[in-house]
Parts: sequence; structure tokens; C-alpha cells
Amino acid sequence: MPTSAAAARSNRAAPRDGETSAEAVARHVRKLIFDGRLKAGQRLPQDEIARAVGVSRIPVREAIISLEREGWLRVENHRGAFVYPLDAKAVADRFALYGRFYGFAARRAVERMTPEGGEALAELAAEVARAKSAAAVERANARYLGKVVSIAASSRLSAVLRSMPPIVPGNFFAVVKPSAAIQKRGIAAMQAAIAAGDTGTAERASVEMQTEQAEAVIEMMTLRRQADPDA
Amino acid sequence: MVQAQGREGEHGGVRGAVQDAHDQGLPHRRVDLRAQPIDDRLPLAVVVIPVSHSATEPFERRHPDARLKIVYILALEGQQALPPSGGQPGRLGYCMRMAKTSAEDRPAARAERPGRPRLRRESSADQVAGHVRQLIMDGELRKGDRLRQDEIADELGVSRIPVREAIIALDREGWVSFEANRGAFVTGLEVDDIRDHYELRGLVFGLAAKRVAESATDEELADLAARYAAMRKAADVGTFSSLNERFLGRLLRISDSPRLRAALLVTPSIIPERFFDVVPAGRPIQEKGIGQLVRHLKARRGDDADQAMRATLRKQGEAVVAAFGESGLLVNRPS
Repeated sequence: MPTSAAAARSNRAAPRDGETSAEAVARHVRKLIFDGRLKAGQRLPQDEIARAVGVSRIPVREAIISLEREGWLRVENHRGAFVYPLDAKAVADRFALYGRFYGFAARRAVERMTPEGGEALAELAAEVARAKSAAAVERANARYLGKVVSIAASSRLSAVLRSMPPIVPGNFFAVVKPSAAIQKRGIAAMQAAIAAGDTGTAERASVEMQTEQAEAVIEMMTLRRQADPDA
Repeated sequence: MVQAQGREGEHGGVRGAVQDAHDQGLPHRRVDLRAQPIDDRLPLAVVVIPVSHSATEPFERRHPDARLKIVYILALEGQQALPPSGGQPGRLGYCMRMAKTSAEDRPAARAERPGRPRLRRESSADQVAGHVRQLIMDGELRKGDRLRQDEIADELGVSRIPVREAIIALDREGWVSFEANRGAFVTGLEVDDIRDHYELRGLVFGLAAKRVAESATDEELADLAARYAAMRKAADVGTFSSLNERFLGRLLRISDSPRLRAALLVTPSIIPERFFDVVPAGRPIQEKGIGQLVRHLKARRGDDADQAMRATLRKQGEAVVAAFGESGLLVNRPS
């Protein structure tokens, strides 16, 4: 079906490589909510969303289950799915949780550290410090935090983090201007503490970093929504 | 999970359901919600019956004239008795949301007509998820085992669609690990998992406690203090358990954060039903911890409230490890 295939190629909401249809739907819905196109309390227009992403209703249903568990929606049987507000409080809560969970990751990583792990982590932290473009910061950050989580070796932590896909669509560090600098500072502080085996300081560094990120995101969302009266 | 709620004295709804469950030999537990009627259409009591029993469907049919509403009682895992086997963990958030929206949003036109039963069935996907959780807790599915979707679908008499939905939910909750190209595998229980589980929940509850300390009204704090006082007076484990459940549910509701509730949803229920029966050391730990929490909340000390929750949950984790470590249910990570 050439027409729909062509449409799918030009459709940014369409499923990408390695992404299931349900994940594409979830990503699309998060973006709509983040951009303010779906408002708090609004009922999710499931058919519209299915059309926009170019999938059937089944992955939409699956995405709704995930999104409910992530805290974006509430589902009322037979009535539909309704959007939870993505307000400053929601953003603050989400980043507060990141701060705590990554702080926990740092603590477990210290407890389970190996010499190889320590070396790898130090090198990845240095990469974060060196990274210049937003794309490079995104990559280096993901690898550093991924390594901390991996050394922490906690299946529960990994499960919880898997359930928290980002609030901000796209490359966080490109979208939220001050965020790259904030993350570099925070990771440097975390790494210093981890290397010194100081779990308390590592946890605090994680929490502080995410608090600053939350403030930057809230400021950005406020400006965006002021600029676009339709949102 | 099937719970029958009814109004006391109306066709003997709750009493009848309890009696019936007793006569059928169905394990059941009555949970009173009377302390917080939100509006008069909401239940005053709940009878909790595990869905894994094949008798529950006929049970539902036998009580059409009672105002039975199926409500999903959830147990906040680690703090109070867990839902009977097969129950979906974390539904407390959903139950409380239902109650809240019922009181605020439901137009009068949709009010139930007296005598007409409204049954809300658990979806097929929820039942599949409950079934799989039970298999894991019973040890019939072990760490590393692959979930065979077609077999599960056949066994339960459903199509693949609810099985897929169940797997997605179970993956989000951490019971299984699902990768599109490999399928779903059981993640399994280890001592470290138990500890981490409680730590993580402590982090979320601690955050909720901190928020409550900072922004709850004095009336809300007084309400929490009163509930704690009631907990201390609870004569039996069942009562303590449900009062504890409601205390924590109230704490979360006051914190008014769907994201925190969601984070709790994905930390799955590990221990089978009746936490405080199974872990007797849990009650004194909980009483002490909630007592400290209430004091800190009253004094608006957010960080101390946070730490009190974390410490309490950590101790509960250790109590669980102590209780289950010998049973062979847990596996120690090879060091």
C-alpha cells in the first residue's frame, strides 16, 4: 500500500526502528501532553491517535496500560482514559523520583563496585565532561548513568527506571537549554562521591541535580505555553 | 480479584456475601471503609475473595440483588496485608481515584438505581496478569522461565490480546522482562530484590511524606493522627492491616500526586497475602514507624518525615528477608 507507506515515512509519530507500535503511541501521547495539546482531564481520543501514528487500536490499548502505570493517565472502565495534568508539581515529582532512584543506584554501585567498574565509570564521567553538542551530552550521559545502574545490579531498580520514560520529548539536552551544564556539574559531583565511596554525598548530588533540572523544565514549559495560547 | 461490596442492611449485601463465602469455604476478609464515607453511593464495606478460586463466578451470580460493586482493593505492598492471590498490586491508587471521582464528578443522572446491581468485571488482561503472578509466587514459574503466550491463552480460554496486555503490565511491574525479539521471561526473587524493593518504595513513600509535611492542611494532619491512634488500638492483625492500608492510602491522596502513585504501581507485590500475619515482626515496626512519621508531620518536619518512612520500609524489608529467608522461596545472589 504505497500511499500509507509513504505517509508513514513522513510521519514523525510513526513507529521507528526498534520501537513497537505501542511504544510509538506512548511516545506520541507523552508529546501531546507535554506540548499541552492534550489537556488535563481531557479524554484520550483513541481513534485519532491511532490514525496519527498509523496503527490499529490494539497498540493504542497497550500504550494506555503503560501510560497509566507511568502516571500520565487514569483509566475508567468503559469510559476511556483521561489525562493527568503535567503541571509544575508533576514535573517536580518526576524529577524528584529520578533524583532518588539514581541516588539509590549510586549507593548500590558503591556497595557493589569492582576495580574494572570503577575505571569504566571514571572514563564515562570524563566523556560527559568533554561532550560539547547536545547530542554528545545525551549519549555520554546515558552511558554514564547506564553504567552506574549496571554496576548497581538491581533488577528492581532497573524495572522501576524502565517504567519512567522521559517527560520531555526528543533530546532533553537540546530542548531544555540550561540542562547540559546542570547535568555535567551534577555528574561530576556524583562521580567524585562514588569514587570516594561516599554514598551520602552521591545521593545528595543526584537529588540536587534533578531538582535543578526540574526547575529548568518548569521554566521552559511555562515560557512555551505562554508563547502558544492554543496550548 | 473479586471483591463484593454492598451496603450493610440492604438485602444483607455484605453480610450475605460474607456468609456465603464462609459457607463455600472461600477464604475472605472483610474490610470496613465505614470510617470514610465519601458519598452515599460508595460502599461501606468490602468483602475480599481471591479470584483464583473457581467458585467466585457462581458466587457473583448468587448475589445479583445485593448492590454488589466490584471494586479493586489494593494493598500497598509491604505495609499491610496484600491482596489475595491474583490481586493486582497497586490498585489502591485506582480505587481511591474512583472514590474521589465518584464523589466529585458523577452526575446525578448516573446514580445507581436502588436494587439494580452494577458489576464491574476485572478485565481479561487483569485476570491473566493475576494468574501469572500467582504461578510465579507459587514457584511454578521460576526465574528465567519463558512465558508461553499461546499456552497461557489456551489455559485461560482467552485470546492472545489480553495475554499480551498482561505481559506489558507485568513487565512494567517487574515480574517479567519483555523484549520484542525474545519474548517474556520471569525475573525471579532474590534476597537483594526484596531489600531493593523496600528501599525503592521507601524512597517514594518518603517523598510523599515530605510533600504532605509541607503542604497538608492541619485538618488533614489531624485526620492522619487519628487514624494512627486507631491503628494502635487495633485488636487483631486483620483490623490493623486494613487501618494501615487506609492510612497509607490517605497519605498518598493528600500528597496528591499521580506520579508518585504510579511509581508505587510498578513496584510489584512480592509477598503473598496477609503481610502482617506472615511477618509478625511487621506490626511493631509499622506502629513505631508511623508514630514517628505522624510526629514529624505534625511538626512540619519534611526531611524527618521522609527519613522515618525510609527507615520503616527498610526495616520491613529486613523483616521479610528474615521471615522468608529460611523458606527456600528466596534465592541468594551468588557472590
